[in-house]
Amino acid sequence: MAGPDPSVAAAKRAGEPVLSVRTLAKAYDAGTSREKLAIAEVSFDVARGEFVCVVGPSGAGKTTLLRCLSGLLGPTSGEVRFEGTPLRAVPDRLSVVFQDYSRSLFPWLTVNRNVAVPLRVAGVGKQQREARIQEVLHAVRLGDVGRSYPWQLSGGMQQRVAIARALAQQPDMLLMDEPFASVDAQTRFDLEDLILEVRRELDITVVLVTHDIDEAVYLADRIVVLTGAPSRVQEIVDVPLERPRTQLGTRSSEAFGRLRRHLMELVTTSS
Amino acid sequence: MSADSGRVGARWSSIAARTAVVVAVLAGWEYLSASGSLDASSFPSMTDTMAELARQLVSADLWTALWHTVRGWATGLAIGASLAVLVGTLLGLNRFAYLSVIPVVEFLKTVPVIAILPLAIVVWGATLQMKVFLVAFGVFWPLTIQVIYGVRAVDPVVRDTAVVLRLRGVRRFVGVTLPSAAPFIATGLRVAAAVGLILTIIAELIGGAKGLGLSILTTVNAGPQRLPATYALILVTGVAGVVVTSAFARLERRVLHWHESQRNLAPTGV
Repeated sequence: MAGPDPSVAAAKRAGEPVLSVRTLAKAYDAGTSREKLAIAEVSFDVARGEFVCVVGPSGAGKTTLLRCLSGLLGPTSGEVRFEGTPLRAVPDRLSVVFQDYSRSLFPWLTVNRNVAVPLRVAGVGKQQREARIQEVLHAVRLGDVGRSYPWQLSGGMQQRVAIARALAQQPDMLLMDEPFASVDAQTRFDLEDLILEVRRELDITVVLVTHDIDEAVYLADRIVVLTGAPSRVQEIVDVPLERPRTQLGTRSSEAFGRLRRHLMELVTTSS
Repeated sequence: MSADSGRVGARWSSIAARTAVVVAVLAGWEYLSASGSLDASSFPSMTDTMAELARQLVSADLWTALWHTVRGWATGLAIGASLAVLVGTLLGLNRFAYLSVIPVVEFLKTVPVIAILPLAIVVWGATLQMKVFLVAFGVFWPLTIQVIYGVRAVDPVVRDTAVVLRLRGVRRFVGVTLPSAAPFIATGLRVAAAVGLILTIIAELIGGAKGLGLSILTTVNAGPQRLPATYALILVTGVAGVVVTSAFARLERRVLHWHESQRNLAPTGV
């Protein structure tokens, strides 16, 4: 995982966006009679350290977009660049957190071993690996659960494990697909605050896809609003709410309400 | 605590109920024999059968026959299952190979193994090889299909996760594909073990290879006075079947303790 000299790399990257999406289009069954356009044209940039949310009406191709951004799916036309390099596969410095933690965490491995997977792939030695596991489990505020199996934990704890596993390899960017959609409301608030803390502590770039407008406003620096399928960028909304944000304070502020209303109008009129 | 003691209580009462049923069946058998409802020339009494069974259990003949049966069964199962896992994995991982070969596999799966028994006897005679071939052949096809389905049944989210975590090659196969396929393989193996035992007995009974099947045939040919021995041996094969099935079910529970189907059945070892 030891790339080129970090200071040189950092200097080179300082100005350029971490993620750059240019006129991305994605059609399924392209070139056949069943061709279905999921993404018509999407362009946006994500700067280093930024928190960007992508929202849109249901069926707007959000998941397709996420798969294109992560390198799981190749675009039909256009380009996605990660740290300046066109995406061909999932890049080393990018981690993905899926919505369905109960399936994305391997049930046959304990929590420790789940978190260890990316470290083993990267060839990290045993001692360093164990130290790193403790570090990331601590970062997501999980106590002594390393020897448990994921399915023995609550939903919220499982998603924390998934986030810990995504953080283990010290990625530059975290890509999250509706990560808090499968937990109850209280856990959802906790996890939203957790991801904000993690992002602040680790100085990481986050792109989060969600259908929940309140969540997007609460978390993001900027929000990319998609139209209904086939998706285009309807508007990119700045979220100038001050940080650190708190569930009660931020959500009850007047600015939050205005942004929320504006986004509601965008999403409901476009579907 | 109370849930635990409740479970222990339920366990004991279920054991008691099962024992009661067995005792009732044995008593009913004895009653029917004594009352003359069962024809003594084809159905010996329970006590005669049990006495013969006790005599057999201390004789070397029974244990030798059992050893021959177990050896043929285990060798055939090991060969058939290893080949099935290998071939099933290769076919499951390669879509083109899968589509090309699957009709043949599906066809051979439906061929009754008994139909090729005469052929095996002609080629190998009443030997261990004949028995092993028959078991391996009978186990191979259905288990291969289970393995193919298992290997192909990796959950899409799990597959994406493996890609995202950059799991590739052998590491991905051992770490993701095999555990995902394990429930299918385990079920296939449990069924294959039971089928294999049946085929072993048949190979002995019809093919004449040494083992419990041949012993049963010998006692039948020895005339009506050996009838209790026939029944005693049939009981032994029944017990062997139960032992094999429950051993594989236990193994499945241990290895797949993490799987949804097993989570509530066994302690997790945590």
